[in-house]
Amino acid sequence: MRNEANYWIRKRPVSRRRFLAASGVAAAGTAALLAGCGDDDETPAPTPAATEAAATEAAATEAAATEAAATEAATEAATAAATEAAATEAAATEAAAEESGAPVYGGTFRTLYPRDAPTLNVVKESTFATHQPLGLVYNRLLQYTAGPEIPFSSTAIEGDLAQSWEIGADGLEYTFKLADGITWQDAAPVNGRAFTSGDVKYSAEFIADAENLSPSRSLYAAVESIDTPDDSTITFRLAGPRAEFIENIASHYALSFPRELIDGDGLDAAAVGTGSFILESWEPGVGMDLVRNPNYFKAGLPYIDNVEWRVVTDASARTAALRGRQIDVGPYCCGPSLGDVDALTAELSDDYDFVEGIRSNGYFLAMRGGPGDDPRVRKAVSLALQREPILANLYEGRGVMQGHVPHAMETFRLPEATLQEWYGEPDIAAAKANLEAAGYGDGFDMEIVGADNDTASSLSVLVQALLQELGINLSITPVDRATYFARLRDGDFEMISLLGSTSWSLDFWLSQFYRSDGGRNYFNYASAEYDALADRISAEVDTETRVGLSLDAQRMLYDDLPTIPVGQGPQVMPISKNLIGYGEHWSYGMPALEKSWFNA
Amino acid sequence: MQRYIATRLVYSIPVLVLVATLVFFSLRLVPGDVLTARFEDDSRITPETLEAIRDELGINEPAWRQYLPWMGGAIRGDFGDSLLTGRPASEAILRGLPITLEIALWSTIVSILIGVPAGIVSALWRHGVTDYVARLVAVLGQSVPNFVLATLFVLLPALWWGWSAPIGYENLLSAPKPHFQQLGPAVLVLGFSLSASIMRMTRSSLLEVLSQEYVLVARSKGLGEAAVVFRHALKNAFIPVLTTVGNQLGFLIGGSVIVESVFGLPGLGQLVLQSIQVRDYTQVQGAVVLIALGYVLINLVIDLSYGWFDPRVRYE
Repeated sequence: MRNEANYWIRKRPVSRRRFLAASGVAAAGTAALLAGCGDDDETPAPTPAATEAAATEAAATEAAATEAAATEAATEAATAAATEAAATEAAATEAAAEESGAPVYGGTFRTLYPRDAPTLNVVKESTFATHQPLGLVYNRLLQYTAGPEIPFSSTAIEGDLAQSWEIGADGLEYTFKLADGITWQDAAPVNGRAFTSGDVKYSAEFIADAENLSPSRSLYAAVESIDTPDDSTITFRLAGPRAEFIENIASHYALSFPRELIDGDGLDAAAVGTGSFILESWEPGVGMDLVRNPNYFKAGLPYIDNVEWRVVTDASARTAALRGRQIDVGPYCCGPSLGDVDALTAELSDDYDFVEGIRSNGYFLAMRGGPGDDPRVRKAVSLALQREPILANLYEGRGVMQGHVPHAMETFRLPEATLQEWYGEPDIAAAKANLEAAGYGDGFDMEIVGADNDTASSLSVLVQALLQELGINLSITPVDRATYFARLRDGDFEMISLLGSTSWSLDFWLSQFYRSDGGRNYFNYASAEYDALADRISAEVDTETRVGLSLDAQRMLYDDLPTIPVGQGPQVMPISKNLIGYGEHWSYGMPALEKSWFNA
Repeated sequence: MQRYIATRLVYSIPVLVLVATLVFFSLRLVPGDVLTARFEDDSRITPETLEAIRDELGINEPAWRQYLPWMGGAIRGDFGDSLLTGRPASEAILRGLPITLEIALWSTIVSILIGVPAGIVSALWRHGVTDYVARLVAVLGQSVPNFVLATLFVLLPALWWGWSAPIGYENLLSAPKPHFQQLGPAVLVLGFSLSASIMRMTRSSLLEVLSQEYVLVARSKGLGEAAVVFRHALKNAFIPVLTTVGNQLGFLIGGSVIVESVFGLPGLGQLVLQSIQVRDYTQVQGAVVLIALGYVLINLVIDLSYGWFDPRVRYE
């Protein structure tokens, strides 16, 4: 089992000079943070033009951030994140540049994915298949920082369309200043017109409008009003404090799109944004081709000329494409099967780095109806699970235990000792005692529903074997993906292997699953005390206080076990050694690609 | 003959209606719908929003109420809009159909090129080593599932030589070389699999014909063996083979679902498979009706071609 230090291991030796460069910049960033005057500048891209642009940006944002730092703890949190992002990104870019020399323009980035985008509509769709490639076409005000030395699970945020931002003294007003010179791509129907704060407002209001049926509407649920005092400034006024509003703005779903597309043929079949790449063609069933945006507002970027995003539905064909060195990163979403990783690493290590990152979407068991409604039964099931061998089996020795907050969320997760104490060792005697107390001393029969993937199937079989010791006889019902989600949403299960989510939002994990009205509360957990605590966590802007509240919530969830945490596993993503400056990140849209280039 | 064709086409209408009706209702018996498949457990979309989208798509209506308008449209050639993409279902069908047709055509050619000569050789040297080898290979071809062969075709070159076909799908006219690199393995797999039954049918049919009296007469007249076999026997032996080829072509028009998926070819088979997975009812219905129509037409063409092989055949 891996410890947290191994979450993200790029299997490439780090030179002493590179290490010192990274440490130096990181130390500078930390010092700035401690002094309470962090900045939220963009990391200079390694070209003279980009460096100049970024320096100007840095000066502007430093002023803004300094002003903001004088106000509130909320502002400190924002600038701290920005400083961390800037420091780590600067170190990463510098290290990459040192290693590989000056960036080179040109080349074609190739990757693949098992499913096609249903449509190009970034408002209506929530699938990775739409948002990962189109994240290159559209921008958002803020984005998560990504790069070769930045952990997959990093939640550091940097400006994208916005060059700076500040939070008002009351914690309710968020003002963003747009970067200079942003234009829409030179394609119909916008044909390169200037991008303004009005475009951001239009997009946010369109997504928030209930009539447009966007799954992303909740991103703006707390927004009371949006103002655009000038073409480069936008202010969101919230109805109440919201700890994760900045994260919502940085969400890969909070994209800005032109009103001309909506007024015209709509977003389904066309995508024109402000992004680093222009969508050249989309052939359903085959994939997308994107070309470099020569007028991209981030000077000098991107370096790569073309992106080929292909659809290959068969897993063995995707692995064969990797073996044939036909892709630069991937296959998406999560790299090759963990069972193939060791062989592929041995075979392809001359050409690829195999980069490991813990994903947030681990497995839980959920129960509903019958014996599963009794918390003592759920406790018994939890106590009977031997999590370490389960995880070793499910994730080829790369899994980690987790509580109700993913282990990858380092700030808010349970401390390691608590995790071990609560979920580490099975206790069959205690499990039997709980069953006895619940009136099920002789055990019972139950169905477990599992999705049709290898991990869920293995989990069902292992749980079935382990629970036999308690006299619980599980019958396994494997179902296809659509049936699985239909039964899950309908609550049509006695026990189900529940895959978490790729979300890195604490609100998501604590409210969506366990609030009585949470969208993922498929197991009917209802606790007024818990709901009140979840609300406090959503509104609490002080990180330290929020950490404490999060631990309180996890204690309540441990006592009630509305879901039984099992653990989570990594993805191991092959990245071509020719691709410099790239790093995988959990947020969609390949944010590091615009700063990446191919070795000559 | 025109009357025969017209009658056959009229008879095919109830077949198509029955197929469409069965597909229409059986799809709706499967749990889940296009929205559960599309949004899975995305909790940002509320149950109310889901219901609003279902209303908009019309899938909240009882099945029979959805059926009549759809069938009315289908009779006019309008299969409705895909529930997933919102585009006309015919668009995706017409995009996948040429690819499937091309695969079917090449595979049939390959299967005939392998199966017919092997069947002839096997029949002429009956109980010889060649016959046993050919029959063994035929049994292999029939018993090894397509997807196993296809997976081996994908995996082994990648493992042995680090080679894989170019990813994606390139058009024949714009990029012929990668086009054939992409289609080639699928055509070989399907061609080999289908050649087995053609070989066996050619062999047994030819053996039967070779034992007929007119063949004995031809030989008695002093005709060379090649003339006896190729001019007299083979043509008559070919009718059952043709029926086999026709059935296989019909099967291929339906899209060799697994083979298209393994080789990443965006044909009709892959479209149907993906559409079933995401419960895109209208897309599946449209594609299946078209496949059934293709099957009916191919069988008609095969029936009509019997007359060319055997002038005694009359169409009444």
